[in-house]
Amino acid sequence: MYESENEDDRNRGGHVMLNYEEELKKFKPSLEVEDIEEAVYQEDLSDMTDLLREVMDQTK
Amino acid sequence: MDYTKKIIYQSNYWYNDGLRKAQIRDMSGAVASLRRSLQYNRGNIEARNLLGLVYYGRGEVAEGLVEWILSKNLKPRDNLANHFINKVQASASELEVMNEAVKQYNLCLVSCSQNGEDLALIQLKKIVASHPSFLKAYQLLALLYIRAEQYAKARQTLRIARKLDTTNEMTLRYMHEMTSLRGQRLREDKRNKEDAIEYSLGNETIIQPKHGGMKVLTSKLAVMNVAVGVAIGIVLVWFLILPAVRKSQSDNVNKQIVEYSERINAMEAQISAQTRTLNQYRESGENTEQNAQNAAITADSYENLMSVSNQYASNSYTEDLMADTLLNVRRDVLGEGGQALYDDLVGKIYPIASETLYASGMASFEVANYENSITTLDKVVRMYEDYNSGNALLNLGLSYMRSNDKDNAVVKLSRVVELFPETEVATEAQNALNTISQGEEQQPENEG
Repeated sequence: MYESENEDDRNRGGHVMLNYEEELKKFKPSLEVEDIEEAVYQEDLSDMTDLLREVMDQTK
Repeated sequence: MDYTKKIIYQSNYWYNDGLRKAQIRDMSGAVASLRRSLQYNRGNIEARNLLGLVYYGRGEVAEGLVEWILSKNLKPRDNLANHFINKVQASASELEVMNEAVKQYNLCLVSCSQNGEDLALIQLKKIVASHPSFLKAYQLLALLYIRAEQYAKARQTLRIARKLDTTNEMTLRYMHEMTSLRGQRLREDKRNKEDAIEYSLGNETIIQPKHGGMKVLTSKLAVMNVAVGVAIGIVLVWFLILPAVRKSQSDNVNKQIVEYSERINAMEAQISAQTRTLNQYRESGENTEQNAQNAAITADSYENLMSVSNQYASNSYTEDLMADTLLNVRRDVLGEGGQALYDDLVGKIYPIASETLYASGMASFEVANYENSITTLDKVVRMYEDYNSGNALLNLGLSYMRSNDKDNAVVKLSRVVELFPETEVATEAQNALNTISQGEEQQPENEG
């Protein structure tokens, strides 16, 4: 639980135990169908094998 | 065991963990486990497909599609992702609705950050109605309800969110918030009760505040404040909102009137155009009819002309008989050659025919056979209107008069007066006209 840190939240109707502004920041925009292609290209596909190879390359 | 096998085992372990969690609808836990599985082995197709399905299950369709597309690229054949993608593509309308809901959700987030929570709350209600598995929307809606102190609705929304994802940290935190809030309220109620004296009187339990006077005064003041507030509200509505509403209604009515006027004008223009078209068609029809009649008359005239020409050449027909046919020829419809032939025949036939017919007509007139005299004298007059210095026309008029055909009699007699003024025939015709008019005057008197 978050303690309300300023008086404004109390005045705006927010519950005293919950910081509305802080909670709102945790909500992120959801991916839209139009952005799927870009999301596919940006997906990080590296896995443990890649990491190990990199480590081995560095040790050589 | 080499490290690659170990990695694959680890990946499978986390996949199994994710699968177990997904089966009990612990979506958040499943996502975490499956992500870990893919971090060990990105080629774990089952883990990736299940991750997509979990995203889809909590309403994040696009995220699910991303995982399935990646899966398909890693393993194009014999892959369950193909089935999922095809299913989604087959129901394009549903995908459209879901995507629209996602877009609206994103807009709501922007609204909330710009103090537009009221609007966002209304919009989120619509979003969860159109896309009922959209977990994030439920959570944001619950937060807005909590902010607006609509705790019952917030609790109800959170219950649905928990069904979609049983262990979501945010949902559980908000629910815990609700629970602690309820406890706080119960404590407050208890404290309020402690401020009152409770005792029984017969069957009734009476609760009386400990410090009655002050409390009553406070409550009275509160009631008065509310009443004053309501009165101010009514005045504001009366002077500020109602005029605006009336103006808006009046504007709407004016707009409608203008719209109807435009429609009426358009319809009138249409009717006018159609009437014009109809008239054109009618005129065209009349012209066509007239042309057909003219063609028939021309054909008849030529036919009669040829017939008379043949009769004259055969030398076996009397002039009065040939004149009968020739009278049915109209000179004006003939061509130059036709007119020349007509003039030639008229010059040869009419002088003899008119003489014969006039003699016959006068004979009938003398014996008061006016029917016959009208027929023959009419032919003479049609040949030569001034025949025998107007006597043919005069006797035709008299024949009509004596056979009680006053209209034709007046026409013929008037023509005599007009063509032969200051002659004997004109005087006789005028006398006959006077007789006719006197007879017409006397007749109404007799009838009267």
